[in-house]
Amino acid sequence: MDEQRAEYIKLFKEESSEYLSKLNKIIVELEKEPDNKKITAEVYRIFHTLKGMAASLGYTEIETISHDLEEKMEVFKEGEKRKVDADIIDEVFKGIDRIESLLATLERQEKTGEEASPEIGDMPYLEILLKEDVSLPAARAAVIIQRIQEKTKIESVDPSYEEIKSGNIGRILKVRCAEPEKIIDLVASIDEVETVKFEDKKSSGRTSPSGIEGIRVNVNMLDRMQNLVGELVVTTSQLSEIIRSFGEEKFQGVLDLHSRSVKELQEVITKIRLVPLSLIFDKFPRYVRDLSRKLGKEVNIEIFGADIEVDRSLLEGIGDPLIHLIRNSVSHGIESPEEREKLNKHRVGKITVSAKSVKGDILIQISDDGKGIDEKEVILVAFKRGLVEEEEMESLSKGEILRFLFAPGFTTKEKVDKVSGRGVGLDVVRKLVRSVGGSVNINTEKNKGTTISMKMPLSMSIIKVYLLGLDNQLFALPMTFVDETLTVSADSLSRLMGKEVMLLRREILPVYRLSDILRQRSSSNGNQHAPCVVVEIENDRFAIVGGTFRGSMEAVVKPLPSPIDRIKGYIGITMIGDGRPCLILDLPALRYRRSYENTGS
Amino acid sequence: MSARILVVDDAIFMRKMLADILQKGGYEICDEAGNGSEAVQKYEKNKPDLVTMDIIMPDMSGIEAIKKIKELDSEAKIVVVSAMGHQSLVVEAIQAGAKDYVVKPFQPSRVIEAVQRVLKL
Repeated sequence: MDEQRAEYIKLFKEESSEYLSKLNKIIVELEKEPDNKKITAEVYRIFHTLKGMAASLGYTEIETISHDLEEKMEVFKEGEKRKVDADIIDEVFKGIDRIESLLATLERQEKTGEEASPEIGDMPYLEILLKEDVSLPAARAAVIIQRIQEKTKIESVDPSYEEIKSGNIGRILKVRCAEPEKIIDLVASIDEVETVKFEDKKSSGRTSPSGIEGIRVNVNMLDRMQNLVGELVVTTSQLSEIIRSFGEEKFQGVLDLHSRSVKELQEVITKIRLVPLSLIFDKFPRYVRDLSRKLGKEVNIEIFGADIEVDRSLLEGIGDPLIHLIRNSVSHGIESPEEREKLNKHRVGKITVSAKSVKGDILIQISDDGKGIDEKEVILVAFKRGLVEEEEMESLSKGEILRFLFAPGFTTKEKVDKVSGRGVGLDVVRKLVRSVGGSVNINTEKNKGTTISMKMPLSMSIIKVYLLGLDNQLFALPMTFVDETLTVSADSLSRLMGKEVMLLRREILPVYRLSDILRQRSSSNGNQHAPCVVVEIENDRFAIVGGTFRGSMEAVVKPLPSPIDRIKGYIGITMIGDGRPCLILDLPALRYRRSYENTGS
Repeated sequence: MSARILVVDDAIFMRKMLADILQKGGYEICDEAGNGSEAVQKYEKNKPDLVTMDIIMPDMSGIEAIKKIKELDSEAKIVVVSAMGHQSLVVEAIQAGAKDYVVKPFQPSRVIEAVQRVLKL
């Protein structure tokens, strides 16, 4: 395959996927407003565009599907009285799915079929179109190949033998063989074959897609670039430390310029890596539509903040957890229309997905107005599974109770269904969210609904941290976990049921010593005015005291070197200004790795 | 003389259905087999003109049986009869030497067409 064609194919796939994802989204809207002529026109236009693109590359099946749907949409366009109906919507969805799977095959062809398809792109070949109603097209393709093989030598086939075996083929089979003109009649006589053409690609022109505004960059390159900039940031601050100790004014000016450039470079690279959440959010309406239909429920989904941009790695990390949560909401949260009416709720359930930036982090919330989670049942299941002692059951706070939902034991289906179905894979969700440096919170009210909040840093490679000192060591605490910082006097700490607590604006917060969390012995005692960090993670709010504030910084996160990477409780390591390494705390992992004594000092 | 067919399927019900369809179509059922190894034996014994072969069967799979039969007789004419959803197995069976296939549930006409086609080869 020549390079130019390869490039066209890549572009085609990218652009088509974008169109399909857009279609998936707007078709769901169109289903709700069947006389919305604007959306109708948009759908029509997209199929028209797809058709043209596919035709330029010779992807006949995509072309045919798009053309067909374009024609079908035409009768609903502006000036026409007819409203879009469920049948056409279904047909459009079917078409989208088919095109999607064809695009996926293109991808595979590129990866695996390099030996088979390259020549087929340019050499004369037989293009065999199977009839639409052929059952098991891949098996039929195998039969046809066998027939041809009996008469002549086959050079290559497209889709490849592997793809045929995996069953992943469309209606078109391309065969390059010796003396194709002699077997064309044989192939045409096969019942299941609709048409067979002798194709010579070289003579057919190709049109190039226009309006390219960007270039494709390998993500690995971006990762490397970001790492290098990270190194630059670190060495720059080391340099500035050294120069400051020399007190040389001459260097200072250059260094300031240099630092500014590095900072800008870092910002640019961070921006390059950003992608809009809409890339995954746009899939949700279709997903909710299909799932709710299957379950006989009526559910609307509202999406806010899809235009917020996040780091590519984060986007990849949160796609699955979000789908998990939406599935939970549709299948277990939202009641059936009949049940909802009995409860005096609107027949149609509502799921809201919202994203917003909060102090440099991203907060994604998924809410539903379904049946919520019954705390009492959660406690009961927790007790049965030995997660809680009988004596403790009375004194648990709501937050503590809901935290049981994160226990792996709560994922089994029967148990979960008893707990009004919530909790499916919540431990998995938590794990995934933690892996991108974030934390999860659940809020729920019986019969009102459930909200799951995920807070994560925008990027995993550079995060904002507070520096906390303990004796002679420095630790970095990601700001994502921090709700506020304040100074407390020693007498505002008190004891409640043997545990240290503090009163903050009428809220009683448990207090933990930094040394206890880190499981280190510390010689430092609480000063009269001690700094205090209020953190909020996973349905848990508490204060950390006993450290000293050493400011805040943007930390370039480096993975822990082996063998200390096996120690749990640290996200990674960062360098501070003077070149010293500093561990970045994985607060949820430290806090919940085991119980430690909360006795104060 | 009408062509003689060996019907291979692990389900008696399916064998009966196939046999009825084929007999109605004017073919002679020379024998039936319920698994792969039985099919190979009966092929050797009866030397049928054609075999209809199920794929998923106990003892020896249809694909194995096709290979064995092909070893005995490279000209053997075999039509695979398989359920939907086993496409990759059907492809494998064809690569092993089956000449055509019919998908369960089938229409009688489909079976006859496939058999006619393969016998003409």
